[in-house]
Amino acid sequence: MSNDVVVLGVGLHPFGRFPEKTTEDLGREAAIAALDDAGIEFKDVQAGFLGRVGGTGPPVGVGMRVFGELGQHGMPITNVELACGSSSRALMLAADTIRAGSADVAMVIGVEKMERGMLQVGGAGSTNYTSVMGLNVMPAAYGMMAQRHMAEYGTKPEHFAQVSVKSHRNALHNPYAQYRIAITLEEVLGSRMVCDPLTLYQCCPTSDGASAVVLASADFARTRTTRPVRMLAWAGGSPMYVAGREGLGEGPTGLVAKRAYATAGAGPEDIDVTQVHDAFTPGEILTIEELGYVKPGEGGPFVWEGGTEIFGRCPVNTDGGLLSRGHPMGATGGAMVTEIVRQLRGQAGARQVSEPKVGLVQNAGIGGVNVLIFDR
Amino acid sequence: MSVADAATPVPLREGLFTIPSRRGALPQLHGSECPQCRARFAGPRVICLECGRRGLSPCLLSPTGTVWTFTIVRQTPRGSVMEAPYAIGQVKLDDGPVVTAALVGVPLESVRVGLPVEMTLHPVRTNDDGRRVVAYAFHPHGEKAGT
Repeated sequence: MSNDVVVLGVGLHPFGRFPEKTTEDLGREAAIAALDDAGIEFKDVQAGFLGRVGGTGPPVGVGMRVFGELGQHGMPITNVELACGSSSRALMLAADTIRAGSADVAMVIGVEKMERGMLQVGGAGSTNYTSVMGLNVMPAAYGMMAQRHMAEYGTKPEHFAQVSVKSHRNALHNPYAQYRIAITLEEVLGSRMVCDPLTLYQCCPTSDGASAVVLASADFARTRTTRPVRMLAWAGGSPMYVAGREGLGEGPTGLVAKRAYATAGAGPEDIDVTQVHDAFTPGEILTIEELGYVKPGEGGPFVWEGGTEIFGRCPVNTDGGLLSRGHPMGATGGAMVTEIVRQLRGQAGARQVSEPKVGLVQNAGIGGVNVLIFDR
Repeated sequence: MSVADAATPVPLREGLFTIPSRRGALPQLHGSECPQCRARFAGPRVICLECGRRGLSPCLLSPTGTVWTFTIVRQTPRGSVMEAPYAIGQVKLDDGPVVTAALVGVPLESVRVGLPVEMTLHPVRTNDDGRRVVAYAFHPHGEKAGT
């Protein structure tokens, strides 16, 4: 008997704007796709976890409502909120549940319906001091990361812009992506400045969408497939106080990655395909440094020289990432896992990386960060 | 109300920062200091992040520091009194804490990492009593206060 947790099925509802659909509609459609991919019935699922931040739609208990669309056989359902990292954290909890022997099959749904416009932490129109003073602006947080990186390492605005060029090119081949248009470096740099040095096309859109992932014990999976994708290792973290040291990036990705590598018995050199949290372009450059793919400060030139392209040394965000696939917050972690699973199965079509064996997901949300490693 | 009272600005939020009564004195942020390890934090805290001690003492933080990083916000956020474009930054105060605040009194193109700054009061509006409502911000050393 093995202790392994495997990914039995994945599914998405396309990311974009779907004003005619409810949160429940989006979640149900992704879930049905994942159940079909897994080759199971909903009644086989013994635990449900739902990642969602807020957005529009039901204010509480959305897990009961979305899973309730699929059936009602009394399984435990847990709502998980970790801002933009909600559904990857939900996936970790589902995997823990399976590893503990509490369920053979668990399902994670990530879902969000969002309003248009610039994301303001704490909500637009909040009366708290930082909102009134214009300090709670999501792109500003990443703009400040970028400025510090530029001052410390000489990273250039065009390095950040190149992330967006690459992501958009990858999304051309992703039918679930919100933006399937190629854009040039000049177009990215020439788009409206939002928070220096980040221009509009370096900011992910707000989106509607859903993702679903079915996890199972290895023993259960054997009844359905001969060669499943394994969820090899997972680790999470939250901000760490270190006096006198200011951190770049969202959460302690470097530290969390070290723990995930140790569990997996792998290192950065073993990762063949990666999904990182590029809500804004600095996300990719800072994260590949924290994951140990390149040394601190080398992320900009590495991206510029094509290192993270599908045929580069470290392919990153092969499905277009948050920048182009879209970022319905609660659905994003599950979408990242969906892409890694499709890559490891060789189902990624025109965006397929050459024979990847190990894939990594890094998903972050307001200081919380998750790193998950998969293999096949 | 005396003439002097009427001239004294009102803070946008009580308890966040001081409004100096003496000409030339700088406003300061309220913070917390650990009586055990002397670590300082912005705002009220009960438990020390450095050593875990419970029960921190109120203190006034250093009004001077340097810009650790910054950006220029080019789109006015809904509900904000700041009008784009404006600069904001993370300022590392001389006694340790890092605070995010508006950077004023400096041309946007001159804002840079490492810029030495000090606290200042920044006018945000006039209230119903005709008194000036102010927020805290940072500007380069030696700038004349905006109020």
